[in-house]
Amino acid sequence: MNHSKIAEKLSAYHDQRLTQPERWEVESHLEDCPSCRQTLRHWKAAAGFLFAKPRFSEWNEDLFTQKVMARLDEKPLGLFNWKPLLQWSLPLTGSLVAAAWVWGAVIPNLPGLASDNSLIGGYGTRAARSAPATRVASSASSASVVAPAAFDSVSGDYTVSFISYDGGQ
Amino acid sequence: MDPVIEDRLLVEQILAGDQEVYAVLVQRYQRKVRGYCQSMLGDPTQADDAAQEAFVKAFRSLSKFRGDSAFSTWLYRITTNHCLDLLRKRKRRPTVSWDALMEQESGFLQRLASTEADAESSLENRDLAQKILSTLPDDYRTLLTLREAEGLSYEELGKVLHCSVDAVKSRLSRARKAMQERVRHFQALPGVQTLEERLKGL
Repeated sequence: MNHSKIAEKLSAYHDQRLTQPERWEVESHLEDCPSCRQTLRHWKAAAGFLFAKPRFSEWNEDLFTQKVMARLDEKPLGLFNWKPLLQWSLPLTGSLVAAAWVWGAVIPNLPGLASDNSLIGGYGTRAARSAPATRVASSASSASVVAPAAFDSVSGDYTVSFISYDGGQ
Repeated sequence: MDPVIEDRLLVEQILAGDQEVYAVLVQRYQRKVRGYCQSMLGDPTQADDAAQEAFVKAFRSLSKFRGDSAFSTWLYRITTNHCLDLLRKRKRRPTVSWDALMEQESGFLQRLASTEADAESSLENRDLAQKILSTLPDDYRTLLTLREAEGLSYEELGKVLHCSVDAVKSRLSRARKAMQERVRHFQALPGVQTLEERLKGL
């Protein structure tokens, strides 16, 4: 059997999981193959080094058992995991507040936009003259309409007027 | 009495309402579970917490224990899943690749490697071992830890990891090659003791 096929069996040989004929085969190869012998030595040394059992010099078995037993009656967390929501709620709220502030306070006061708020979807002074009124309630004879909000570029406030319409009677 | 049968009887007692009996199982397996958690996670404090959590999770799932494997094997499965969850969460933080570790800590590694083996260097050896293990893929680390540190058989590994014995065999072979690769880098450092030499100091 060639080297690569034996190499595939080395792990099982290391764990003593080969049949007796396979074992003889590998051992016969090992006599003539320093590379495979080194691999086996290396695995043994690496496993001994990497997986040495930790020492428990200060381990208190009774205390550990008490801690576990005390937790048995704790209610498990529900199926819905709130943690990610809580984790993101603060940054999300902050971002929304910042966006609202930029939208409401900064953009309207930008040079060139303060006098023409139609560009940002608000009702600026020019828009107030041209935008149609919105009908909010009506009956056969009368209706209340909301006039377009007028923006006062000095105070930065919007003014909304209610107009009663009596149908010309 | 056979410990496997004894464990099953204890589980039946607990499921019948005698919760205090669970202390017997905790007492019996805590060193194994805690040791396994430490091998998987490295940090002793995190290992303590993980071991506690694994026992609590096992208690809550006790009704699902069907008894077709030993209680200890079933407990290893729960502990493995919990440790892998923790490792995944840890991986979301920036991780250190093997090359980066060699670059950042080559001085530290060389100092450790050239230290005479004594009580202090034994702790440092653990630290170094954890650093090397942390660069292995999680599934290789799990498999090697269960095999090399906990001594599970191929059949038990198959039950813990939900795979066939043939799959265990081939995965172990690949995991050992990966382990060899990591350690070979380390051994290539100038002034480094061979693992055989370091092993004598443990």
